[in-house]
Amino acid sequence: MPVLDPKERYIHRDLSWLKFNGRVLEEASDESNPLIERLRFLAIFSNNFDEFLMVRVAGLLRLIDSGYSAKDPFGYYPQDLYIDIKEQINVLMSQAYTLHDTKIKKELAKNKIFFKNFEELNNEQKRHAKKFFDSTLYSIITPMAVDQGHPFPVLPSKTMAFAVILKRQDKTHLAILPIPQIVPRVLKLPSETGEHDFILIEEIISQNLKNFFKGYTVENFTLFRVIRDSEISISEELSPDLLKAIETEIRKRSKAKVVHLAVHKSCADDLLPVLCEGLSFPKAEVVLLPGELDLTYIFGMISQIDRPDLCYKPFMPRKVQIDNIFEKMKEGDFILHFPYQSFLPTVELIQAAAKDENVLAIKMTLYRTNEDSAIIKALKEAAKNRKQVTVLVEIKARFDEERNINWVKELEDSGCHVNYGMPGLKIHSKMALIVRKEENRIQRYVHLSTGNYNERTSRIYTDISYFTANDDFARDISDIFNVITGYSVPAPWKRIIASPTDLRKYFFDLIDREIECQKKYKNGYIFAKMNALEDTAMIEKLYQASSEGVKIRLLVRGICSLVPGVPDLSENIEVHSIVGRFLEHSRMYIFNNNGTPRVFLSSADWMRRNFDSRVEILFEIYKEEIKDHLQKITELYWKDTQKTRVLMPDKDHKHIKTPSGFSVQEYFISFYAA
Amino acid sequence: MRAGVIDIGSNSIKLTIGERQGDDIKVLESLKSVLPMGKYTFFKGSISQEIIKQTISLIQKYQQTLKEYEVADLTVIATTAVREARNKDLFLDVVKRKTGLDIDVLNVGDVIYYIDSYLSQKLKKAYPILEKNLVIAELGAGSFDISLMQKGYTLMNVGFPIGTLRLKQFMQSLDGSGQEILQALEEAVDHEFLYLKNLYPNLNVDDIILIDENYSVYLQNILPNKKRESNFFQLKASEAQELLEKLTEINPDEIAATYKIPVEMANTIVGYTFILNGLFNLTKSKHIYILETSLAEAILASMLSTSDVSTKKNKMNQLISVANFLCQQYCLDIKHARHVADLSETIFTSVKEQLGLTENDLLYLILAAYLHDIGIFINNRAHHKHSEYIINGLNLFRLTEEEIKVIACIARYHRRGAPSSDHPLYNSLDLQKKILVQKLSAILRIANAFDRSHKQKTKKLEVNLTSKEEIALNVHTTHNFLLEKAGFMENKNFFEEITGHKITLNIKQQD
Repeated sequence: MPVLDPKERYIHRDLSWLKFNGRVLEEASDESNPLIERLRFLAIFSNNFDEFLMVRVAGLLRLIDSGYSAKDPFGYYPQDLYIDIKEQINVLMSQAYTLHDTKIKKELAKNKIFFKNFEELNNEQKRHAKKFFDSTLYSIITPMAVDQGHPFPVLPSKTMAFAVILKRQDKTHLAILPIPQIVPRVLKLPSETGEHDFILIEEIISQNLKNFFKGYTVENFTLFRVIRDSEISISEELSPDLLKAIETEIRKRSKAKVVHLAVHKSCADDLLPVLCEGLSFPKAEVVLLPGELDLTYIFGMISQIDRPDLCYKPFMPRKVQIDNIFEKMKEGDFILHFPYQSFLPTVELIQAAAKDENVLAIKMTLYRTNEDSAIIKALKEAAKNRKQVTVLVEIKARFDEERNINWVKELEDSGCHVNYGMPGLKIHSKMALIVRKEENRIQRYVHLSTGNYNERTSRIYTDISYFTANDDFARDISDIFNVITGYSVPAPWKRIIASPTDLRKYFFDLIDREIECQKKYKNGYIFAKMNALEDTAMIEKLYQASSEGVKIRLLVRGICSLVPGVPDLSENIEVHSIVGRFLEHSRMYIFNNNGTPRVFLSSADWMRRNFDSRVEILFEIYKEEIKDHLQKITELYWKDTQKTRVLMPDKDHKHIKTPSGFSVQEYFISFYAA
Repeated sequence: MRAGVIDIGSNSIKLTIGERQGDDIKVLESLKSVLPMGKYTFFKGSISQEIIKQTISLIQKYQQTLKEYEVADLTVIATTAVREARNKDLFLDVVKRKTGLDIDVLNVGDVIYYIDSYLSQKLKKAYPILEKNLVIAELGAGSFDISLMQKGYTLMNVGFPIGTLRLKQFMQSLDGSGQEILQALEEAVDHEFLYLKNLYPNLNVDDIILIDENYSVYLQNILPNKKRESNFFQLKASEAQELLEKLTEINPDEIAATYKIPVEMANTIVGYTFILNGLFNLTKSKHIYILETSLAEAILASMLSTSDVSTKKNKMNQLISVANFLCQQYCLDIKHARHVADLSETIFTSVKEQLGLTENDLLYLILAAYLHDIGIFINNRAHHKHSEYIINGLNLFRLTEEEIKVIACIARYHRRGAPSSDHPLYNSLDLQKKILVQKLSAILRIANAFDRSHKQKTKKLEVNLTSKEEIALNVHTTHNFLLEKAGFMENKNFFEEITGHKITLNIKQQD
């Protein structure tokens, strides 16, 4: 194996992530996608960026600030990486704004959807906008003076604000006018012609600025937007009460360092230095944007456009008819494939358990869930029905903390035992266990999934749920709950493999077995589908397998730090990425095992954090029928020629779209509907 | 029906919940938390406040899990670390107050009893346990318990202070090179086995069964060719030797890394290996059987068992078996012992209501009857006094220290002086036990008198309650009963004073 510089050997995880976001942007520009869906991709692209800045760039800046200068596993010094990231960000941003300002706006206009400046409004629309300003905006926006007695206000992350230079009696003053994040960003205007006319609220505010400053003249103003470092970094071992610690951390957030400052390119020269000083942000790093500072306004806009002809053809997830979920599970293990099949049986399982008088206990993990979750309601009901309910919550799910704390408190109030897991380890596995008394015996039911217990995302994320009444699973899942809740030390598992203890090693052993099979029988083969591949030890193992001749197919939606197709390194590895209508989220792993394939589902990607600092589970499917089905699914994925991008040895993805190509996601919609 | 067992061991606290499934026990939950209680007891003599607090907190967590399975039937046991702690009573009291649970502190006999009865249930198809002469061994963190079984009967049980945690502590206390420490460890283990070997030089054993819930699962990691088909399997002497060779070559960190063994186990597995080899040396067996199970599972089985442990193996019969074995060990006149025991039982059964005795008390009387002459082993003179301390020093199957004291006292008072507060052992008993000793020793004296010649002349004994105050003993004999009658007359007063009943003897000579 040739010795290569890690920069050559791997694709940096952050740069690979940026490429992924580029693929999202591609979907926004793909004219074969319906227009509103393209807009949605653009909004997702923009939102992704915000998160990336808040987490990865912020982390990197912290490293640089701390004077750290050592290479990361991908061969980059922090400073070098920052330069490369900035460069890619600029390229992508520029592509996004070009797309937004030209093509998309044009096509919207073709479909009679308009974004208007204040001057373009007709009189009625102007009156409407003014009324909205007077009744809503004026009362909730508070201008803040900046002078010796009033320091520059602390603006929460993702806040847009106006900086305004005012004049009174020859004296200039600076005021900051933050736009509260609770206000919808777009206002739909009345229109008689059947058009959809929209205006951004910043446009309305800018027209009415003088209303806030009576007795002053508005000399100059600019709109800006800040993003702050939001990565939570609590020393968990020192914190006896994790919940409290997170609440405090959230309160602290608005004070975190500004990592991104976007300003409209029309910003006057005298305002920029004032802003930079007030926000302690280097002027050279300011991003000047040609248009809207925050494209996530699109989410608010498209929700107000009733044009099904511009959206994906709607489909109803196929509801598998289940009369009695417990009986069905006892008949045999089964899977559900979301979003093609309905998530309802999962909800019904918990609901049935909550109501069933023979159910004694429910245990489940909740990582990211929706606020109005029927599952949470069912758990509360179960606790009220005097069942023992143990909920293992991961309140650290990124950006969801605030939302999580609310429902966590509700669960506690209703009598559920809420457990916050182990310090330093995120509970990423998705599992539920139901203990039921049947003819005075205990029968346990287990639900495992590659995705979260979230009814909303189950409509857009592809995931696989596994339902079983097999007691080996129940033992393992019960044990893993006992370990996480500190009731027990780990026992040897029967049916699952869990991180952070065994998972990487287990995968390595499976890969070694393929290498062995390749040597003996020439049939080493691995298929792996995941969201991200970034663990360098795993990548090295895959390179080793490839060098031994094992054929490897990787379907990696997001980050992929492995470089495929490089002679003497990875020539037997192919990497595909599918970015399409549904977010590819399921994790499936198949090892040929000399013609008797072993098929696994998991909550884990092949990322360092999944192996080392999260509680993840991997479980093998034994039932032939399900195994066959899952293998078929993976084969179909590989046939996709609509949304598949192939990662090339030059580290770029190539979209292999063919005119009458096969779309695996569309295929599954019709397959499951039949 | 579900049951739960909380096992407070020397190195961990465990909760096992199970239910019956056909003939088997299905374990529903098996929780384990490491809590090195023995570290304190074995080193400092008592359990620390911190450990008491942690114990309570764990038990409270377990109570939550017990609710999840609606477990109503719960047994809480504790073994060596609690049994040997100076502050045992305080510990039991605090736990009771905080959790509402009573802890049953098991002794070696209790442990072996549960294991034995579980084995005969569990292995009934796999292994003819009731037809074999066996050494059954259980290795805990605090103690290594051994029981000798003869065709289903316990002959003896003994606990050695070489539990894995103790061995680890012992190793840590030594100041020497790695090799020297290992050698010392081996010698310490051998020393304990040597005691056993000297005690039973003609040990006739078909097989050894080792109960092991911790280590055997890792054997495969060290011996790659070792197959564990089920949780009951054979380990060859050569494999034990190979284990020893491999594990003594490297230090615990290397053991953990090389053989993928959890670090805490890697620290103690060498001690385990020495014990395995010690077992082989003890009996010259070619293999031992390893059964992967736990004490908690055995207790669970007994709780969930619909039929009581077979009558053959009940406590009384087991103890008689132990007593017989002891008679052989101490070269007693076994015929005399049995005869006195039979006569004692006959008298007891007839008068128990009059004397306010309960069925339970019979066990003490019978054991005292078997063992009353055991002191002759030391010296015939004042042998009753020797009997007292020998019995008091015995480890009698499933009997508490207090019960053994009672038996020792009954045996002591089978002759000569009456119980007196000048006698320390007797004086250490509470009032009720003292009265019990008096009543039962009175019966034993009469029974012993009836075999004074050691010739078993009493063919039949009838006990008649002629009036409220009078007991008539009718002895049928074909022999000259004069010596026995003299014995009766010597002990008659003792009986009458204690029981308040007049007692008469009618000898019915038969042809």
